Amino acid sequence: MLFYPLLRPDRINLQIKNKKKTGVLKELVRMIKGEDDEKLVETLLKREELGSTGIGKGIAIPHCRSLLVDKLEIAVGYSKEGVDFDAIDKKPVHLLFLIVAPPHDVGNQYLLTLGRVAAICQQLTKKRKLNVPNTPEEFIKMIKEIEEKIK
Amino acid sequence: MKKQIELLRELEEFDSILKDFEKKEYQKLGFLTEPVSIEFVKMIEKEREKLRKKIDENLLKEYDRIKKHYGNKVVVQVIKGFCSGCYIKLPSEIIARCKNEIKTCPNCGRFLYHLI
Repeated sequence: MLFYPLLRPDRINLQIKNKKKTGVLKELVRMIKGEDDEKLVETLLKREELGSTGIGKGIAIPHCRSLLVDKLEIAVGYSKEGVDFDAIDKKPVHLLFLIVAPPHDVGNQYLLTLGRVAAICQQLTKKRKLNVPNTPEEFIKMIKEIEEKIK
Repeated sequence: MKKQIELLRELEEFDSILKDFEKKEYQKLGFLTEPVSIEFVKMIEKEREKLRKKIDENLLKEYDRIKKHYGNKVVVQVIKGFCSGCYIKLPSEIIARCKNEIKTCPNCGRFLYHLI
């Protein structure tokens, strides 16, 4: 499966303002729900309590299963300043991929997507510095190029 | 105080997250520290128990009964008027009422969660 076709420019915010975990999750959730959803943020925070999804090297993949969505939903955020996300390497997180799916998603798309994003992140962190483009369209193009390499 | 249906939703979500933790595909992704420590298992059990304690005893019994019967999918979404557990078309009265109260699917008996 490919990840880049699932990305939508209106769900990519490359100028995340919040510097705290809860605030950033709120911003990302707002993108997928079109409004605030405290319940979904709570579920994501509960998942974080079981272990941070900040995988290190400036990247986090917050994810959860929730009855508050009816299909796989994805949002991307980038913060130049960095977010305190309690990542495994204790460093600030800059790039975030939010992935939410219903508890019983068709074709196990959720786990496949998580696996794909993890593979993309491995490629992204190979370089010393995270180079994130300025526009959502360019970001999708960058992910597409990475996926072409790791096919 | 949270509505019982919201607490059932939280339990379903928590259980589905734990189910993922048991899957090899998930474990390979590196979100969990390997090997899983006894402290981690205890912490999860404690969190789950905390959540269960907030739920009405009879509802919890029914939750466990459905879980035992179906394996998973205890609380299911109502999507476009259908039960997403057994895909039967639901009566409009049940659809309207499950927004505010606990309702089960007349066919499969699963708890219905209305996604507003």
